[in-house]
Amino acid sequence: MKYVEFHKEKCISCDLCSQVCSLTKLGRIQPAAAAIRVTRDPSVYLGERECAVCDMTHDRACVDSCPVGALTYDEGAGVVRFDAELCTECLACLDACPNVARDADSGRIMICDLCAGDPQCVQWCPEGALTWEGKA
Amino acid sequence: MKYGGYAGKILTVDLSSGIFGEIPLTDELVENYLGGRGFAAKILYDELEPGVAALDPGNKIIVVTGPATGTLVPTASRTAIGCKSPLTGAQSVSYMGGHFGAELKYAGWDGVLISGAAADPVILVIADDAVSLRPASGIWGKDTRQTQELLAAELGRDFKLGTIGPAGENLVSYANFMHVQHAAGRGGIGAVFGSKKLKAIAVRGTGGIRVGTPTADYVAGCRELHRIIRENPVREAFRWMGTTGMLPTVNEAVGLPYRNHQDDRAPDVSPIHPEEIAKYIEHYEACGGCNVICGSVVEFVRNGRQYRTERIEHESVWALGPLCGITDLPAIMEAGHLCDLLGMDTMSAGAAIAWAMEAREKGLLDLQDTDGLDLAFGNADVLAEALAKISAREGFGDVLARGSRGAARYLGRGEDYAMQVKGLDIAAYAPRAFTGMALNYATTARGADHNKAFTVAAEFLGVLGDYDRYSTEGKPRLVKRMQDSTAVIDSLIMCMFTVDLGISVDLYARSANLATGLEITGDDVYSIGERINTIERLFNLREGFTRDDDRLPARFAEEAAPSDEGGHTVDVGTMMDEYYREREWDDRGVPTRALLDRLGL
Repeated sequence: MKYVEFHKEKCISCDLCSQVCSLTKLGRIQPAAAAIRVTRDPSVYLGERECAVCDMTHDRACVDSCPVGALTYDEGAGVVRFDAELCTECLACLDACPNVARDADSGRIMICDLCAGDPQCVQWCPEGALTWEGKA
Repeated sequence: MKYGGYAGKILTVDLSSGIFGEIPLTDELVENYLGGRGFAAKILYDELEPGVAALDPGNKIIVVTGPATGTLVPTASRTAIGCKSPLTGAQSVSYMGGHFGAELKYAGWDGVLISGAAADPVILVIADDAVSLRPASGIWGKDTRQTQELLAAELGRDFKLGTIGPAGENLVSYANFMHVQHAAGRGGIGAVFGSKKLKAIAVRGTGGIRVGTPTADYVAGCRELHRIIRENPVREAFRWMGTTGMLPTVNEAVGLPYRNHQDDRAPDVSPIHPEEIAKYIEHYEACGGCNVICGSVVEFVRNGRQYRTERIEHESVWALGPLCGITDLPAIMEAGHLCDLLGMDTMSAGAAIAWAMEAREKGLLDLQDTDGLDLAFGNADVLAEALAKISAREGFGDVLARGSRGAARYLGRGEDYAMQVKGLDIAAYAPRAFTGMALNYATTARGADHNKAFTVAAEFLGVLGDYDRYSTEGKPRLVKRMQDSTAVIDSLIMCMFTVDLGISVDLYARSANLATGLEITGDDVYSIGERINTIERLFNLREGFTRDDDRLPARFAEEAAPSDEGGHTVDVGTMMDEYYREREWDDRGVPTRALLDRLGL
């Protein structure tokens, strides 16, 4: 199983990952709706970071939470697919997994799809904090 | 709004009435002023009543971003904050890195124009379209870190925060505005926030920015700009030395002001060498959109106290160090950290202390005058106590809170030792060693700011030319051109460091075009910058500034630095006529009618 791996000790909070993710998927720069988001707890001075991105290794709680089958697992690509036609905007998937995001403008559920095998966030990360198949 | 990169509107907040509104951006404003500093200059000129006192509710604060802010363009994360300065009485715009400006744009606002004054302390909370003022009773009086930790606990981790500290609340004339470890530092913005009883701004943006270039072309264009920076050899130096990398070299070249500019070289800067500073690095930090990565978190101990803070910057280590005759690194880092917590400019704080040290040395102040503070050059232990008193305006701290010039005028003595222009203290590049810097200090609207035309790049580093740093030949034109191009960098808003990292004027034009869809050229960069510098000049002229304010302290023309074997001095008056001609200003420094017509002013 392949996924974008986050190495928090290398991350410098440049946000280029979420900027390029949202731009390439939505046509606008909107980190809050990106399929990858790095945050940190501002109540601790420049403390550790966390990254929200689908790690493809869990129990696919998002798929299981969807009552209408709008989220399905694509065995071939190894990613979760979203079907806007079926979505009823119940937002259960957002509650089921913190790595799921939603674009409020289009209603699209945003889950990492690995950019068809060439994750842009990994390409743009200036510090090698994101890796894909072991490569920065 | 036909252009990309903008949110399209500026939020207005009147603190007196609690009324919010919005101002739509116009195509004309974008085409003439671009964003950031340009918008701030135009808005301050239009919005402020002539002669308004800086700490009067009639002063306004403009917090503003640029078209590239938060958009993948490298280093475009910066926020500009402008107002009439309590330190200078001139218009002043300061900048901070971090993630605040991008978040403001994602919230749907290019900027915030703040007017009036609240009756009781408030915080401004912006969550996309939902804007509110909340009581700041629980955080008024807290330092900048406590304030941000408390607000984060209350509002949640998604908000980006900026705040003033006790120095701003107490109207210290060089108080700043802090976002995490980033400071919009110079000119006393924090005091204007304090006078308005606006303690902090919290912003959360979930929206998006559309750029003016098709996605694939945009990604490729930005990628190329990032590649140019990444492959520049200077980038690695910025990373591990931060901004402090040049300090030993400049000192060796007799260009680092020492003991309040009495000399331009410290005998030994090895204790504050960038390699010494780098030893304390715990991890690296970047601003949004940046692949330069000049920031880092350091951990150190002084007098048994453990500190975790940002690595100190070049100007701060100098102002709180050699300028005061000090090279005790932990003491300097502790002082820099205290300035951040109290919310005041490290540079003007150091300069005020250095002024007092020289006044003391010259017999103009004694230990009684200074309220027991032993303000002697080289006394590292006095820094922390002096800074705490300044912030609290306690005893002699109340005098130093006025800035070096303000303190001298308040006491009626020692103004010759106030090393400033228009009230803003001179930075870490010695005027006698870099005549271009001298002219820039003398003519920049906000006072002696090193970042408005960093001619050291062309006079010393060989990045933008190969000028003789002592000669005045060609400097008026160099200063004018760099002031104009810098105004555009400050308007996009990109980081000044990109100048040293291979981003040329043509590439700033390309950055603007990528984000906005404009089609400006390198020549247009200069003309937009000229317009911005000219309207800043018009603001200051309206406030009563004259040619007489475009000058340096007499010391630099009268005394050479003792360490300088060449015995160089600098008299900026000899360059002024030529500089004004380059600017198409008359011999009084007033823009000519022809210039105003050409710029559409």
